[in-house]
Amino acid sequence: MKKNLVGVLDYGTGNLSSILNCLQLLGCNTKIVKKEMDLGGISTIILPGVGSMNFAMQNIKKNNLDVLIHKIFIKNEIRIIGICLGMQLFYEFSEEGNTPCLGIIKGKVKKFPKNYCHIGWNNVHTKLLDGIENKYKNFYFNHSFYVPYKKNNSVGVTRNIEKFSSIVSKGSFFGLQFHPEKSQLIGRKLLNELIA
Amino acid sequence: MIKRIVGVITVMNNWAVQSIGYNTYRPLGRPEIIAQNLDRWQLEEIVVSDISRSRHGLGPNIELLETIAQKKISTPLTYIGGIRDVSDALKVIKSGADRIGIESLIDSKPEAAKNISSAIGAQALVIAQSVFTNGNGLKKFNYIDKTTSNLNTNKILDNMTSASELLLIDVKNEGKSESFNKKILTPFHESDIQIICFGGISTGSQISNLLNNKNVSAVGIGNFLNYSELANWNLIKNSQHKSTRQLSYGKLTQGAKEWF
Repeated sequence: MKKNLVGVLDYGTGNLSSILNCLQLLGCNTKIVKKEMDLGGISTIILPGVGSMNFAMQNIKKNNLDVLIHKIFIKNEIRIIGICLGMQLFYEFSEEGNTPCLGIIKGKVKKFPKNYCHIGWNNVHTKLLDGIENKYKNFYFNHSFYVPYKKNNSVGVTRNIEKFSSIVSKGSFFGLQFHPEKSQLIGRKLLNELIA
Repeated sequence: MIKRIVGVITVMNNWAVQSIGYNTYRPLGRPEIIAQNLDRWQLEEIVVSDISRSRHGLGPNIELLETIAQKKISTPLTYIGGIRDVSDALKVIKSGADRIGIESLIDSKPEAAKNISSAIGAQALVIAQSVFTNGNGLKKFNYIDKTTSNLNTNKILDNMTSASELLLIDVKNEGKSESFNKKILTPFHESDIQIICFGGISTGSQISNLLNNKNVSAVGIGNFLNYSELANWNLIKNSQHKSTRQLSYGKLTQGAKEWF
Protein backbone atom coordinates (compact mmCIF):
# COMPACT_ATOMS: atom_id res chain seq x y z
CA MET A 1 0.00 0.00 0.00
CA LYS A 2 1.36 3.42 -0.95
CA LYS A 3 1.91 5.91 1.82
CA ASN A 4 1.12 9.61 1.94
CA LEU A 5 2.38 11.93 -0.75
CA VAL A 6 5.82 13.27 0.15
CA GLY A 7 7.19 16.38 -1.55
CA VAL A 8 10.87 17.11 -2.11
CA LEU A 9 11.63 20.84 -2.26
CA ASP A 10 13.78 21.71 -5.25
CA TYR A 11 15.75 24.83 -4.36
CA GLY A 12 18.38 24.29 -6.99
CA THR A 13 21.17 22.65 -5.04
CA GLY A 14 22.59 19.15 -4.92
CA ASN A 15 20.89 16.05 -6.19
CA LEU A 16 17.36 15.02 -5.42
CA SER A 17 17.69 11.49 -6.72
CA SER A 18 19.06 9.90 -3.51
CA ILE A 19 16.19 11.10 -1.38
CA LEU A 20 13.59 10.30 -4.07
CA ASN A 21 15.02 6.77 -4.37
CA CYS A 22 14.88 6.32 -0.60
CA LEU A 23 11.26 7.52 -0.39
CA GLN A 24 10.30 5.21 -3.22
CA LEU A 25 11.92 2.28 -1.38
CA LEU A 26 9.66 3.17 1.55
CA GLY A 27 6.65 2.92 -0.74
CA CYS A 28 5.87 6.66 -0.79
CA ASN A 29 4.38 8.62 -3.63
CA THR A 30 6.74 11.50 -4.34
CA LYS A 31 6.49 14.91 -5.95
CA ILE A 32 9.04 17.66 -6.65
CA VAL A 33 7.89 20.93 -5.05
CA LYS A 34 9.01 24.22 -6.58
CA LYS A 35 6.18 26.58 -5.57
CA GLU A 36 3.08 26.85 -3.37
CA MET A 37 0.84 25.50 -6.14
CA ASP A 38 2.69 22.17 -5.92
CA LEU A 39 1.65 21.54 -2.30
CA GLY A 40 -1.73 19.93 -3.00
CA GLY A 41 -2.17 16.62 -1.18
CA ILE A 42 1.29 16.66 0.36
CA SER A 43 1.66 15.58 4.00
CA THR A 44 5.46 15.93 4.33
CA ILE A 45 8.08 17.99 2.54
CA ILE A 46 11.76 17.13 2.54
CA LEU A 47 14.42 19.86 2.25
CA PRO A 48 17.38 17.90 0.89
CA GLY A 49 20.83 19.10 1.81
CA VAL A 50 23.84 19.23 -0.45
CA GLY A 51 25.55 22.48 -1.44
CA SER A 52 26.62 25.72 0.15
CA MET A 53 24.46 27.83 2.48
CA ASN A 54 24.69 31.17 0.69
CA PHE A 55 23.88 29.62 -2.68
CA ALA A 56 20.92 27.77 -1.13
CA MET A 57 19.53 30.89 0.58
CA GLN A 58 19.92 32.95 -2.59
CA ASN A 59 17.86 30.40 -4.51
CA ILE A 60 15.28 30.11 -1.76
CA LYS A 61 14.76 33.89 -1.65
CA LYS A 62 14.78 34.28 -5.42
CA ASN A 63 11.88 31.84 -5.65
CA ASN A 64 10.03 33.19 -2.57
CA LEU A 65 10.39 29.80 -0.91
CA ASP A 66 11.35 31.52 2.38
CA VAL A 67 7.85 33.02 2.50
CA LEU A 68 6.32 29.64 1.66
CA ILE A 69 8.32 27.81 4.36
CA HIS A 70 7.27 30.36 7.02
CA LYS A 71 3.63 30.00 5.91
CA ILE A 72 3.87 26.21 6.31
CA PHE A 73 5.42 26.65 9.76
CA ILE A 74 2.61 28.94 10.94
CA LYS A 75 -0.17 26.74 9.50
CA ASN A 76 1.39 23.67 11.14
CA GLU A 77 -0.37 21.26 8.77
CA ILE A 78 2.51 19.90 6.72
CA ARG A 79 5.58 18.31 8.26
CA ILE A 80 8.91 19.59 6.96
CA ILE A 81 12.07 17.48 7.31
CA GLY A 82 15.33 19.32 6.65
CA ILE A 83 18.35 17.14 5.90
CA CYS A 84 21.92 18.33 6.60
CA LEU A 85 22.04 21.80 4.99
CA GLY A 86 18.24 21.59 4.97
CA MET A 87 18.30 21.43 8.77
CA GLN A 88 20.82 24.26 9.10
CA LEU A 89 18.52 26.46 6.97
CA PHE A 90 16.01 26.48 9.86
CA TYR A 91 18.38 28.54 12.04
CA GLU A 92 18.86 32.32 12.18
CA PHE A 93 22.38 32.59 10.86
CA SER A 94 25.18 30.44 9.44
CA GLU A 95 28.91 31.10 9.57
CA GLU A 96 29.03 29.46 6.13
CA GLY A 97 29.35 32.57 3.97
CA ASN A 98 27.98 34.61 6.94
CA THR A 99 24.48 33.95 5.69
CA PRO A 100 21.22 34.96 7.37
CA CYS A 101 18.94 31.89 7.19
CA LEU A 102 15.21 31.19 7.66
CA GLY A 103 15.05 31.94 11.40
CA ILE A 104 12.51 29.24 12.25
CA ILE A 105 14.70 28.09 15.16
CA LYS A 106 16.79 30.46 17.30
CA GLY A 107 20.52 29.94 17.09
CA LYS A 108 23.57 29.99 14.89
CA VAL A 109 25.26 27.41 12.66
CA LYS A 110 28.99 27.33 13.37
CA LYS A 111 32.09 26.04 11.57
CA PHE A 112 34.02 23.17 13.13
CA PRO A 113 37.45 24.30 14.33
CA LYS A 114 40.65 23.65 12.34
CA ASN A 115 38.83 23.06 9.03
CA TYR A 116 37.52 19.80 10.48
CA CYS A 117 35.04 17.88 8.34
CA HIS A 118 32.75 15.41 10.07
CA ILE A 119 32.64 12.61 7.50
CA GLY A 120 31.31 9.13 7.98
CA TRP A 121 29.18 7.31 10.49
CA ASN A 122 28.50 8.43 14.00
CA ASN A 123 26.14 7.63 16.85
CA VAL A 124 23.02 9.70 17.48
CA HIS A 125 21.80 9.64 21.04
CA THR A 126 18.04 9.97 20.75
CA LYS A 127 14.79 8.70 22.19
CA LEU A 128 13.42 8.38 18.69
CA LEU A 129 13.44 4.84 17.26
CA ASP A 130 12.31 3.49 20.59
CA GLY A 131 12.99 -0.25 20.74
CA ILE A 132 16.27 -0.13 18.86
CA GLU A 133 19.38 -0.28 21.00
CA ASN A 134 21.32 2.98 21.00
CA LYS A 135 24.52 1.31 19.76
CA TYR A 136 22.79 0.67 16.42
CA LYS A 137 21.66 4.28 15.96
CA ASN A 138 24.56 5.17 13.69
CA PHE A 139 23.97 7.50 10.75
CA TYR A 140 26.01 8.92 7.88
CA PHE A 141 27.27 12.49 8.34
CA ASN A 142 28.98 14.71 5.79
CA HIS A 143 29.35 18.30 7.00
CA SER A 144 31.82 20.92 8.19
CA PHE A 145 29.30 23.27 9.89
CA TYR A 146 27.20 22.33 12.91
CA VAL A 147 24.57 23.49 15.41
CA PRO A 148 26.00 23.60 18.95
CA TYR A 149 23.94 21.46 21.32
CA LYS A 150 21.20 23.26 23.25
CA LYS A 151 18.46 21.49 25.15
CA ASN A 152 15.72 23.50 23.44
CA ASN A 153 14.62 21.93 20.16
CA SER A 154 17.25 19.18 20.27
CA VAL A 155 15.96 15.59 20.15
CA GLY A 156 19.19 13.96 19.07
CA VAL A 157 22.76 14.66 20.04
CA THR A 158 26.12 13.56 18.61
CA ARG A 159 29.71 14.02 19.74
CA ASN A 160 32.83 14.34 17.69
CA ILE A 161 35.27 17.15 18.38
CA GLU A 162 32.21 19.14 19.54
CA LYS A 163 28.87 18.11 21.01
CA PHE A 164 26.18 19.14 18.55
CA SER A 165 22.48 18.79 17.78
CA SER A 166 21.99 16.04 15.24
CA ILE A 167 18.18 15.94 15.35
CA VAL A 168 16.09 19.04 16.08
CA SER A 169 12.37 19.75 16.08
CA LYS A 170 10.06 22.71 16.39
CA GLY A 171 6.34 22.51 15.67
CA SER A 172 5.90 20.38 12.57
CA PHE A 173 9.53 20.87 11.54
CA PHE A 174 12.22 18.23 11.96
CA GLY A 175 15.89 18.70 11.15
CA LEU A 176 18.44 15.89 10.67
CA GLN A 177 22.12 16.83 10.50
CA PHE A 178 22.94 13.42 8.97
CA HIS A 179 21.73 11.83 5.75
CA PRO A 180 19.02 9.23 6.47
CA GLU A 181 18.80 8.47 2.76
CA LYS A 182 22.47 7.36 2.87
CA SER A 183 22.30 5.58 6.23
CA GLN A 184 21.08 2.23 4.92
CA LEU A 185 18.41 0.40 6.96
CA ILE A 186 18.53 2.53 10.09
CA GLY A 187 18.18 5.69 7.99
CA ARG A 188 15.16 4.34 6.16
CA LYS A 189 13.66 3.22 9.46
CA LEU A 190 13.92 6.75 10.91
CA LEU A 191 12.57 8.41 7.79
CA ASN A 192 9.72 5.91 7.74
CA GLU A 193 8.75 6.91 11.28
CA LEU A 194 9.01 10.63 10.59
CA ILE A 195 6.83 10.60 7.50
CA ALA A 196 4.23 8.18 8.88
CA MET B 1 33.95 8.82 15.44
CA ILE B 2 33.27 5.48 13.82
CA LYS B 3 36.01 4.25 11.51
CA ARG B 4 34.97 2.94 8.13
CA ILE B 5 35.43 -0.09 5.91
CA VAL B 6 35.17 1.22 2.36
CA GLY B 7 34.45 -0.98 -0.64
CA VAL B 8 36.45 0.13 -3.69
CA ILE B 9 35.24 -0.67 -7.20
CA THR B 10 37.89 -0.11 -9.85
CA VAL B 11 36.37 0.47 -13.28
CA MET B 12 38.04 0.23 -16.65
CA ASN B 13 36.15 0.72 -19.92
CA ASN B 14 32.85 0.36 -18.04
CA TRP B 15 33.78 -2.97 -16.45
CA ALA B 16 34.68 -3.54 -12.83
CA VAL B 17 38.19 -5.00 -12.73
CA GLN B 18 40.61 -6.52 -10.29
CA SER B 19 43.68 -4.34 -10.42
CA ILE B 20 47.09 -5.67 -9.43
CA GLY B 21 49.96 -3.22 -9.08
CA TYR B 22 48.48 -0.80 -11.62
CA ASN B 23 49.46 -3.04 -14.52
CA THR B 24 47.33 -6.18 -14.51
CA TYR B 25 43.57 -5.96 -14.81
CA ARG B 26 41.10 -8.85 -14.66
CA PRO B 27 37.40 -8.38 -15.36
CA LEU B 28 34.97 -8.83 -12.47
CA GLY B 29 31.63 -7.85 -13.95
CA ARG B 30 29.22 -4.95 -14.03
CA PRO B 31 30.12 -2.16 -11.56
CA GLU B 32 26.49 -1.43 -10.68
CA ILE B 33 25.92 -5.03 -9.60
CA ILE B 34 29.00 -4.95 -7.37
CA ALA B 35 27.81 -1.61 -5.93
CA GLN B 36 24.44 -3.20 -5.22
CA ASN B 37 26.16 -6.09 -3.39
CA LEU B 38 28.33 -3.77 -1.30
CA ASP B 39 25.21 -1.78 -0.37
CA ARG B 40 23.44 -4.97 0.70
CA TRP B 41 26.49 -5.99 2.74
CA GLN B 42 26.37 -2.61 4.52
CA LEU B 43 29.87 -1.36 3.85
CA GLU B 44 30.27 2.13 5.32
CA GLU B 45 31.07 3.69 1.95
CA ILE B 46 31.57 2.76 -1.69
CA VAL B 47 34.31 4.33 -3.81
CA VAL B 48 33.94 3.98 -7.57
CA SER B 49 37.25 4.73 -9.26
CA ASP B 50 37.15 4.82 -13.07
CA ILE B 51 40.78 4.57 -14.14
CA SER B 52 40.04 4.84 -17.86
CA ARG B 53 38.81 8.44 -17.80
CA SER B 54 41.71 10.81 -17.00
CA ARG B 55 44.28 8.80 -18.93
CA HIS B 56 42.19 9.17 -22.10
CA GLY B 57 41.18 12.78 -21.42
CA LEU B 58 37.58 11.77 -20.90
CA GLY B 59 35.33 13.51 -18.41
CA PRO B 60 33.62 11.71 -15.52
CA ASN B 61 31.59 8.60 -16.28
CA ILE B 62 28.13 10.10 -15.75
CA GLU B 63 26.41 7.20 -17.50
CA LEU B 64 27.92 4.76 -15.00
CA LEU B 65 26.84 6.92 -12.04
CA GLU B 66 23.31 7.09 -13.41
CA THR B 67 23.24 3.32 -13.83
CA ILE B 68 24.37 2.88 -10.21
CA ALA B 69 21.77 5.44 -9.02
CA GLN B 70 19.04 3.36 -10.66
CA LYS B 71 19.93 0.57 -8.22
CA LYS B 72 18.70 2.83 -5.38
CA ILE B 73 21.66 2.13 -3.16
CA SER B 74 21.67 3.81 0.25
CA THR B 75 25.40 3.62 1.01
CA PRO B 76 27.45 6.82 0.68
CA LEU B 77 29.16 6.93 -2.72
CA THR B 78 32.43 8.62 -3.68
CA TYR B 79 33.36 8.87 -7.36
CA ILE B 80 36.88 9.28 -8.78
CA GLY B 81 37.84 9.54 -12.44
CA GLY B 82 38.09 12.20 -15.13
CA ILE B 83 36.87 15.22 -13.17
CA ARG B 84 38.34 18.31 -14.83
CA ASP B 85 36.51 21.32 -13.40
CA VAL B 86 33.59 22.63 -11.33
CA SER B 87 31.11 21.76 -14.05
CA ASP B 88 32.22 18.10 -14.03
CA ALA B 89 32.14 18.00 -10.23
CA LEU B 90 28.59 19.34 -10.10
CA LYS B 91 27.46 16.83 -12.75
CA VAL B 92 28.94 13.99 -10.69
CA ILE B 93 27.13 15.14 -7.53
CA LYS B 94 23.86 15.58 -9.43
CA SER B 95 24.24 12.06 -10.79
CA GLY B 96 24.19 10.54 -7.33
CA ALA B 97 27.69 10.76 -5.81
CA ASP B 98 27.97 12.17 -2.30
CA ARG B 99 31.62 13.04 -2.68
CA ILE B 100 34.14 13.28 -5.47
CA GLY B 101 37.82 12.38 -5.60
CA ILE B 102 40.56 13.98 -7.70
CA GLU B 103 44.15 12.89 -8.24
CA SER B 104 45.98 14.20 -11.31
CA LEU B 105 44.00 17.47 -11.30
CA ILE B 106 45.57 18.56 -8.02
CA ASP B 107 48.93 18.86 -9.84
CA SER B 108 47.85 19.75 -13.35
CA LYS B 109 45.26 22.40 -12.39
CA PRO B 110 45.47 23.29 -8.68
CA GLU B 111 43.17 26.31 -9.19
CA ALA B 112 40.46 24.06 -10.62
CA ALA B 113 40.75 21.84 -7.56
CA LYS B 114 40.27 24.85 -5.25
CA ASN B 115 37.28 26.03 -7.28
CA ILE B 116 35.71 22.58 -6.99
CA SER B 117 36.14 22.70 -3.24
CA SER B 118 34.44 26.12 -3.09
CA ALA B 119 31.55 24.90 -5.21
CA ILE B 120 30.77 21.61 -3.48
CA GLY B 121 32.39 22.18 -0.08
CA ALA B 122 35.59 20.71 1.35
CA GLN B 123 33.57 17.96 3.04
CA ALA B 124 32.64 16.58 -0.38
CA LEU B 125 36.17 16.52 -1.81
CA VAL B 126 38.70 13.70 -1.43
CA ILE B 127 42.28 13.97 -2.69
CA ALA B 128 43.71 10.67 -3.94
CA GLN B 129 47.44 10.02 -4.23
CA SER B 130 49.11 6.91 -5.64
CA VAL B 131 52.30 6.48 -3.64
CA PHE B 132 54.96 4.01 -2.57
CA THR B 133 58.07 4.03 -0.46
CA ASN B 134 61.40 2.40 -1.14
CA GLY B 135 62.84 3.37 2.23
CA ASN B 136 64.01 6.71 0.90
CA GLY B 137 60.98 8.94 1.38
CA LEU B 138 57.60 8.80 -0.27
CA LYS B 139 57.38 8.54 -4.03
CA LYS B 140 54.42 9.57 -6.05
CA PHE B 141 53.34 7.50 -9.04
CA ASN B 142 51.71 9.21 -11.99
CA TYR B 143 49.41 6.50 -13.33
CA ILE B 144 48.84 8.37 -16.58
CA ASP B 145 52.43 8.62 -17.84
CA LYS B 146 53.77 5.92 -15.46
CA THR B 147 56.48 8.21 -14.06
CA THR B 148 57.54 8.60 -10.43
CA SER B 149 58.65 11.67 -8.46
CA ASN B 150 59.26 12.64 -4.85
CA LEU B 151 56.05 13.35 -2.97
CA ASN B 152 55.96 16.82 -1.45
CA THR B 153 54.07 16.15 1.79
CA ASN B 154 53.92 19.85 2.71
CA LYS B 155 52.16 20.55 -0.57
CA ILE B 156 49.74 17.71 0.13
CA LEU B 157 49.00 19.10 3.59
CA ASP B 158 48.43 22.52 2.06
CA ASN B 159 46.04 21.05 -0.52
CA MET B 160 44.17 19.23 2.23
CA THR B 161 42.79 22.55 3.54
CA SER B 162 40.35 22.32 0.59
CA ALA B 163 39.46 18.65 1.08
CA SER B 164 38.09 16.33 3.74
CA GLU B 165 40.18 13.18 3.38
CA LEU B 166 43.35 11.94 1.73
CA LEU B 167 43.10 8.59 -0.07
CA LEU B 168 46.58 7.05 0.02
CA ILE B 169 46.95 4.22 -2.48
CA ASP B 170 49.91 1.90 -2.03
CA VAL B 171 50.81 1.37 -5.70
CA LYS B 172 53.39 -1.34 -5.15
CA ASN B 173 51.10 -3.49 -3.01
CA GLU B 174 47.77 -2.81 -4.60
CA GLY B 175 46.01 -6.11 -5.31
CA LYS B 176 48.38 -8.15 -3.15
CA SER B 177 47.34 -9.90 0.05
CA GLU B 178 48.10 -8.28 3.45
CA SER B 179 50.82 -6.02 2.14
CA PHE B 180 49.86 -2.33 2.62
CA ASN B 181 53.08 -0.59 3.65
CA LYS B 182 52.42 1.34 6.88
CA LYS B 183 55.53 3.44 6.34
CA ILE B 184 53.48 5.38 3.80
CA LEU B 185 51.61 6.92 6.73
CA THR B 186 54.72 8.11 8.59
CA PRO B 187 55.01 11.60 7.04
CA PHE B 188 51.42 12.35 8.09
CA HIS B 189 51.56 11.17 11.72
CA GLU B 190 51.83 14.66 13.18
CA SER B 191 49.10 16.15 11.01
CA ASP B 192 45.35 16.46 11.65
CA ILE B 193 44.32 15.15 8.25
CA GLN B 194 42.04 12.15 7.90
CA ILE B 195 43.39 9.35 5.74
CA ILE B 196 41.80 6.45 3.84
CA CYS B 197 44.34 3.64 3.28
CA PHE B 198 43.98 1.51 0.17
CA GLY B 199 46.05 -1.15 -1.57
CA GLY B 200 46.93 -4.59 -0.24
CA ILE B 201 44.52 -4.66 2.69
CA SER B 202 42.96 -8.07 3.12
CA THR B 203 42.77 -9.24 6.76
CA GLY B 204 40.98 -8.27 9.97
CA SER B 205 44.16 -7.89 12.02
CA GLN B 206 45.65 -5.65 9.34
CA ILE B 207 42.52 -3.49 9.31
CA SER B 208 42.58 -3.24 13.10
CA ASN B 209 46.24 -2.30 13.05
CA LEU B 210 45.71 0.45 10.48
CA LEU B 211 42.61 1.85 12.18
CA ASN B 212 44.61 2.21 15.41
CA ASN B 213 46.40 5.12 13.77
CA LYS B 214 44.73 8.30 14.97
CA ASN B 215 44.46 9.90 11.55
CA VAL B 216 43.38 6.81 9.63
CA SER B 217 39.63 7.29 9.30
CA ALA B 218 38.97 4.40 6.92
CA VAL B 219 40.46 1.48 5.02
CA GLY B 220 39.56 0.74 1.42
CA ILE B 221 39.23 -2.84 0.21
CA GLY B 222 38.93 -3.77 -3.43
CA ASN B 223 39.82 -7.21 -4.77
CA PHE B 224 39.44 -8.99 -1.44
CA LEU B 225 35.72 -8.25 -1.24
CA ASN B 226 35.14 -10.24 -4.39
CA TYR B 227 36.11 -13.72 -3.26
CA SER B 228 33.12 -14.61 -1.10
CA GLU B 229 29.61 -13.53 -0.24
CA LEU B 230 29.49 -11.00 2.64
CA ALA B 231 33.29 -10.88 2.71
CA ASN B 232 33.22 -7.77 4.90
CA TRP B 233 31.56 -9.66 7.77
CA ASN B 234 34.62 -11.78 8.37
CA LEU B 235 36.91 -8.79 8.11
CA ILE B 236 34.96 -6.81 10.71
CA LYS B 237 34.49 -9.79 13.01
CA ASN B 238 38.17 -10.71 12.86
CA SER B 239 39.39 -7.19 13.36
CA GLN B 240 37.15 -6.76 16.42
CA HIS B 241 37.99 -3.12 16.30
CA LYS B 242 36.12 -1.06 18.86
CA SER B 243 35.74 1.96 16.61
CA THR B 244 34.00 0.19 13.73
CA ARG B 245 30.25 0.34 13.36
CA GLN B 246 27.95 -1.94 15.31
CA LEU B 247 25.72 -3.61 12.77
CA SER B 248 22.47 -5.27 13.57
CA TYR B 249 22.17 -7.64 10.66
CA GLY B 250 22.92 -10.61 12.86
CA LYS B 251 23.51 -13.96 11.24
CA LEU B 252 21.46 -13.49 8.13
CA THR B 253 20.47 -9.81 8.22
CA GLN B 254 17.41 -10.64 10.26
CA GLY B 255 18.24 -8.04 12.89
CA ALA B 256 17.67 -4.93 10.83
CA LYS B 257 14.87 -6.46 8.80
CA GLU B 258 12.88 -6.86 11.98
CA TRP B 259 12.83 -3.08 12.31
CA PHE B 260 10.29 -2.80 9.49
